[in-house]
Amino acid sequence: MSAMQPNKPKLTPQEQENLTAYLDHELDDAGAEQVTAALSRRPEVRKEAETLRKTWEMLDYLPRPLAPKSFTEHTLTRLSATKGILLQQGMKWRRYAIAGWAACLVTAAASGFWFTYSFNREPDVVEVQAPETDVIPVLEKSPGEAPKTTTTETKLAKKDANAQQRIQDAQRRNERLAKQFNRLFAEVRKKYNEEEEDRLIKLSRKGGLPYMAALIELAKKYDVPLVDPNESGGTPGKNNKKTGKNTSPGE
Amino acid sequence: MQLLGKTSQAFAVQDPDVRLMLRVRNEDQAAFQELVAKYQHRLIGILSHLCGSSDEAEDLAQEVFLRVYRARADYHPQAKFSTWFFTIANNVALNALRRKRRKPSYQLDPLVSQSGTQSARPEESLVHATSTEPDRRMRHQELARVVELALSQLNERQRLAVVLNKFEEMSYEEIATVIGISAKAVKSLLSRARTQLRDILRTYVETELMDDSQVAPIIMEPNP
Repeated sequence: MSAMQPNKPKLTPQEQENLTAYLDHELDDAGAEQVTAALSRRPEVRKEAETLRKTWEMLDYLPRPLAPKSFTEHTLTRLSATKGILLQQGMKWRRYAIAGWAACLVTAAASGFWFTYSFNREPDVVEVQAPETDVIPVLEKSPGEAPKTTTTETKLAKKDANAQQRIQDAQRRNERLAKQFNRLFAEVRKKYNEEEEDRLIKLSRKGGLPYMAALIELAKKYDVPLVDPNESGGTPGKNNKKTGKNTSPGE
Repeated sequence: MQLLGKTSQAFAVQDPDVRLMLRVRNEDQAAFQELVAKYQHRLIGILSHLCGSSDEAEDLAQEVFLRVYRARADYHPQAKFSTWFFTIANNVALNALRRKRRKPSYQLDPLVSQSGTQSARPEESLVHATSTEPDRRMRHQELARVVELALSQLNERQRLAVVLNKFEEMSYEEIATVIGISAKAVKSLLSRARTQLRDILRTYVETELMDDSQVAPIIMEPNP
């Protein structure tokens, strides 16, 4: 058994690698020259080279199994079967893909419409409702219909027309309201004292609800009618909060 | 016909197998059949040394060809066809070996299964072979088993590098591509493999058996 033990290596691992590469013709010119020189000078390198060469030749004893004659046919048969499975899988995936694409398109269309509608819809109209009697006017949003996305142009056109109508109504109401308050102010200024004048002027710079409330307060104080009795067509009616339409007789 | 880049054109001109594979890429069934016929023996030869069984090698070889077919659309020649082909083979073989390790199955040692005797180390069986088997063919067969057993003692990478270098005459660079390591690492890998084989087969190498016999590979007839 001792004869079977390998001898102690006399070459360094680097020399061993270079020698193997030399035998495989994988060394560059400089490396090959070094190995050639070592082979000529050192008998242990020559012996190692010969041993490696013989060992390599021994691999020729290895059996080389051949493919059976039916191998090509079997492979092509298996390929056909696999192609069928792949085709079925492909069809299945194609169906999923189509459904997925359809879902994506619908979602994209709905999102696009929603964004477009959201950015282009009419601004919320702030209406200042003229008091019918002794009601303090309040700021109130136009209770327009909640935006709904539809896909038909008819519905869109109808909604646009409604929105335009609501804007025009709001503008008319605002004009009428401004007119009423101007009349109220003209009547009140004839009666208020200096202190009330200062306060009203200050509030008028700020505008809005406090000014109107103060004006109405003074009108009540000095018995100035809130509604012009001479105005034909009556007073601005109550705002129907549900429809946003003015239900006054004059409308 | 898909357009080819300059590199692909260069390989297509130099390597007829690249041209064959390009025909496969263009859905030429006859070309694929030709490819299978051309590479089947070489592939099974390599795979049988990697997995140690002809039957398993045949199954794996079919798997390799199927993968080649599936990958045809993405084939863009960047190297010799055989390099690309054996890279796929290496991947398939390594996957199979991993599966095998996870589900180990008992296999008879080749020496036991053939001779029915106790498994012996290569050098021991060699002594037995040389001293008691006068028949040349019998001796060749015994030597074949000894070398096969010696090869099986290398690790998977060493074994693949050895068989690609020996039987496919691949350069270090090509082996590096197949295994996925550097050419320098292949140099080291092959050196260690050959040193290990030398140690295992030293007894035989140091006898004069090689001198009085012209070594010829034993071609194993496939099962019908």
